[in-house]
Amino acid sequence: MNRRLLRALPALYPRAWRDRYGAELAGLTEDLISAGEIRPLSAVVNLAGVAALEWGRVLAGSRRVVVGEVAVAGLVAGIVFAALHPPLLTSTALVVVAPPPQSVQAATSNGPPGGYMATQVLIAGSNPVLMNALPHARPAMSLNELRNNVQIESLARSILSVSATGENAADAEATANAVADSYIGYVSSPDSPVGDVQARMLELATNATGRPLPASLLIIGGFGALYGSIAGATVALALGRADRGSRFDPLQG
Amino acid sequence: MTKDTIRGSSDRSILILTSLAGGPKHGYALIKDIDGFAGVSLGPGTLYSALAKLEAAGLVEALPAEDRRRPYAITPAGREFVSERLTESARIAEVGLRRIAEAPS
Repeated sequence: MNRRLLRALPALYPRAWRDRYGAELAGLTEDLISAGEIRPLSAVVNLAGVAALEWGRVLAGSRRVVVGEVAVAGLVAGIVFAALHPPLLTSTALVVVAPPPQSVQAATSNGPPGGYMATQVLIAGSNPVLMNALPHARPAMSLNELRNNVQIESLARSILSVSATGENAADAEATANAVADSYIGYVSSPDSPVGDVQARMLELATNATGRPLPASLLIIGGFGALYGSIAGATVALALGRADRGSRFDPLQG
Repeated sequence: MTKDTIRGSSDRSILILTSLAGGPKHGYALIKDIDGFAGVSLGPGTLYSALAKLEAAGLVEALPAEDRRRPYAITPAGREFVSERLTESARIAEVGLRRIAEAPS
C-alpha cells in the first residue's frame, strides 16, 4: 500500500473533520494494515465511503440553510418587485348625460337598447376628447398611455363613469377629471359634430381606491417568501436524494 | 436477512461506549476490543466517524496523545447513556428469550 496515498485519503473528508481527526485516522489505518488486521483495498473503500457519509452530513446541515436562504431571497425579491411596481390606484368621475331629444330618440328607436349611452362611451374615449384631456392628465403621458389608463362605462341610462388609474391618488383623480371635463366640453360645444348632447359633471373624482403600498409589499413579499421556500425545498430534496444515494451501512466496514 | 447483516446493523456507538466503559483506549485497541466481545470489525473510518459524533455529544472525551495515538475515555454522561441503553436491551432480550423458551416447538 502506498503510504503517500494512505495519508492523502483523509483529505477526502470535510475540512473541520479532517483537521480534528485526519492524522489519527491515517495513523490508525497504517497500524491496522501493518498488523494485517485490514486489507489495504478494504481500508481505502472504508475511508472513502465514510468520507462520503461525512460530506452527506455536512450537506444535510446545509439543506436547512438552503431552504432558509432561498426563502429570504424570495422575500427580498418580492419586496423589491412590489417597490418597483407599486400598485395602481383607481379614481372615478361620474358624468350625467341628459336623455336625447325626441327627434334623436325616434331616429334610434330601432337600434339596440342603450345605444345612445353606448355612443357616449365611444365619444368619451375618442381621440378628440382624449387629446383635449392630455394636457391635464397626470403624470405627462402619450395619447396611447392615456387611452390605456382610462376606462369609460355606462353605469345607468344616463350616467357615464370615467375611471383612471395612477401610481398615486392625485394622479388618478386628475386624469379621471381631465377626461370627464374634456368629454363635457366636447359634447357641449356648439361646434360639436355629435349634435346636441347635454352633459354635466355629477361627481368629481376626489378619492382613489386600491391596495396601499405597505399592504402590497407585505403580500407580494409573502408570496416571494412562499415561492422561495418551495424552490429551496426542491433544491434540498434534490440534495437529499443525492445524499441517500451515496449512503452505505458503515458497520459493514 | 443473514446473521451478518443483523450483526452489521448493531449500534456502533453502543459498542464503542461499551468498550470504553472498561477504560480509556486508542483507536487500534478499540477495534480489537470490539471485535473480541462483539465480533464486529469496525473499519478505521467507521470508528472515527462514530467517535466524532460521540465526542460532539459529550459522551466520550479525547485524552492527551500518547506517542502518535490518542486515547479516548467515556464521560459520566456517556456512562449513564450506555447504561440505560444496555439495561433496555437486556430487558428486551430477557423477554424475547423467555418467549422463545415458552413457545411450543
